[in-house]
Amino acid sequence: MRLKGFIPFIIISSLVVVFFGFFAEGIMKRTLERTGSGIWGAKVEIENLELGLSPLRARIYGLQIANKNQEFQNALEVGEMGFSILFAPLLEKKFVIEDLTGTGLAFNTPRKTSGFLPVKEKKKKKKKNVSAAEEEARWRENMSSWIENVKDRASEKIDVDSYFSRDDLESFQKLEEAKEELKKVESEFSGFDKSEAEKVFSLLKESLAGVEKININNPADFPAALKQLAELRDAATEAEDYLKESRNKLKEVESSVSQVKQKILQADSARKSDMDKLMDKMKLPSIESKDIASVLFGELLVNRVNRVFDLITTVRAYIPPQEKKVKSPPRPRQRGVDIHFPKDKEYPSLLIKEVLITGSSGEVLKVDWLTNAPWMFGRPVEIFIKYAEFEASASFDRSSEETLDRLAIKASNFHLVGASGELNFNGEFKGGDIDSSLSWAGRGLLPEDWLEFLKMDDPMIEVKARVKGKILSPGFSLSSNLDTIISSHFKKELEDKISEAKRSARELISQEVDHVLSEVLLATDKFRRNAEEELQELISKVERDKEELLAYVDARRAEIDERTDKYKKETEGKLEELRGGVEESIRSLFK
Amino acid sequence: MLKLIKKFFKAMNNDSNPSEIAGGAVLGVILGLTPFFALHNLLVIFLLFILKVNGAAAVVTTAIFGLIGYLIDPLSHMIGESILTAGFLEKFWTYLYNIPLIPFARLNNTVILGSLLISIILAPFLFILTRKFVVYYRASLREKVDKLRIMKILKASKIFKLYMRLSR
Repeated sequence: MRLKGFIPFIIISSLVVVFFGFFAEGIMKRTLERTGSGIWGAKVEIENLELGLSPLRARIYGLQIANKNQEFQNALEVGEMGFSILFAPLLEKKFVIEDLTGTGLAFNTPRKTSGFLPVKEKKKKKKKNVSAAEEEARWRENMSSWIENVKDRASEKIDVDSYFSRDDLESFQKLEEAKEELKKVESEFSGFDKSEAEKVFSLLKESLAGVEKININNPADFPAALKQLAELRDAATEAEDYLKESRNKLKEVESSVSQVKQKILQADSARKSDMDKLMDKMKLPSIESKDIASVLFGELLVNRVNRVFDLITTVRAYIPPQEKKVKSPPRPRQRGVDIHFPKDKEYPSLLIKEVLITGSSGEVLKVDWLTNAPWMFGRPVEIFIKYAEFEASASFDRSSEETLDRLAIKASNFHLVGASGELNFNGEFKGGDIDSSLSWAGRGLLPEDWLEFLKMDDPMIEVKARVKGKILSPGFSLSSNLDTIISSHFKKELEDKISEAKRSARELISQEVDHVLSEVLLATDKFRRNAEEELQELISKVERDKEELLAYVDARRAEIDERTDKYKKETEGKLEELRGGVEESIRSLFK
Repeated sequence: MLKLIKKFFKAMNNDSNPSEIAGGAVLGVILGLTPFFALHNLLVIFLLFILKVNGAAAVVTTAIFGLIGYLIDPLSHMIGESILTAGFLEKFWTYLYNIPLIPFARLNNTVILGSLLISIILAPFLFILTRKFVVYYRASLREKVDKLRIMKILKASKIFKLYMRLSR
């Protein structure tokens, strides 16, 4: 045994003791601050840190985690907290804490120095922090410009003359068409040859006069009589044709008139649609539409939800999903193969079984089974935070291959651009999908000048947002009762002016369309009546003459027939007498 | 390295205890045969410091058996694997695996366990053989070695002389 051989070991041990006694605490403190700041994105500072060896333990005093968005504010502050670290897992580079307790928890406390990280590190993140005041100012500006826009558009709508044009009216165009059609029909009717009727009448009269002259005294008169009768018959046929033509014309007139009337009817219905279109033009789209919430709250809520998502994404990055168990054969190495045996206690590289830090005003930060490998314990990591009127709980479940994270936030005095209200957020992150809803309800959101303009008391505003879909590109929908509140008050305010404008629009339409419509209708009816009367008169006259002529012809024909028969009989008698005389003479000659 | 060789030959030639040389050689064999970065080697180095053994002998044998170790790796792997996977030893290995610090010895590695076992088994034999060889060397071989042509050339070389002068 060589005693001097112990000297190197004594030196090494002494160095370890000296290091632990004088430098370990400082190194650990700086490491925690640097790592914490890197993860959080703002300064993490520790006032003092004490380490103990038996058991291995640490005590942290004055922990300050700066607010990422407020330069001189701490997001969280802990007065004192302590924990013991298990030694055996530490030998395997596994950080296991059974329980971590602390006091002096406080949120949103002021800080003397800036909590932002140096500019270089901020640039790396490429994120622009917008302060609450800036956000509120931007929102107010956005709202004011929106309402000014609505006002301007309302004024434009009320001034009917500025956008009303008679030529744009469909009904007016239809009426013009009807007028044209009526003119065409009238000209066609005027082209109908009425002198033809006169010709027919004179022909009939001439034929009649010819017939009256017929005097059948002997057979030699027959042919002339028959010829006269035939002419008379032709005149009657011509009259019949003319009648047919007149009746057709009458039908044609009726059909044309009904076409014109059809156009008038179309114009009448077009007038209604013209009225509707005009009323539509007079609506205030930005008041009626459902996008008020998007316009007013879109950016604001997207920012809020993005902040929550950033936080969740940061936490998720440190709690990876369960690795797929693939049993690969032992990997042969250059110098042998490692054969593993079951372990009594398997630890993840980080495990804090329970964290409980409390504050003097009821603040609570509670974390259960905080680990980067929750699947090893078959239970989720659970976090609960409570301070003042804010309460949040989150769970990160890795018990199956698909990650399932839930986050619920409830805040009864949550400030949204200066207004206080109740906030509720519920989010579920399943694998790569997200389904979350956020709602805020409170008063004091509308600025005084708005309330004055809308003549209303400070209303309870509700804003709801839903984010659903893939985490990387989720769908965002927003709704708010501000739509109906503003639009109803706006309408009420503008109701008289709008009614006035509508009345004026109706008058304009009546003036331009109704008048022309009734004019065209009257003209059409008049034309129809006149044309029908005229044609009917012609037809009845021709018919009457024709009937009279036919009756006369029939009578004359009967007379001629009678005369003919009589003359025939007389002739036959004379022939008989003559034949008897001739027979007598012949007989007497032979005797 | 030359200094170490000189120290080794000095120990072989002078009246150093043969057991010290043999002890150093045995520890060197363990260091050489097994992979260097293993917890048991820390113990071997510790023994080298506190035991009265010849360090030069240990270094020389470490170098020699380091090379031999690579050659017998397949044998070490075979022995280590058969012992680690022997059913009746499973409880023992599991128990060992769960003791803090022991996993750092990497005894669950087939080559480390196999080569460690080989070196432990060989150690007593090597100790006896080395000791006997030192005695035999001093009695019969020392003069013959000194008379070897290569030794003469070596001793006569200017570099060796310069080295010897500087190292004094």
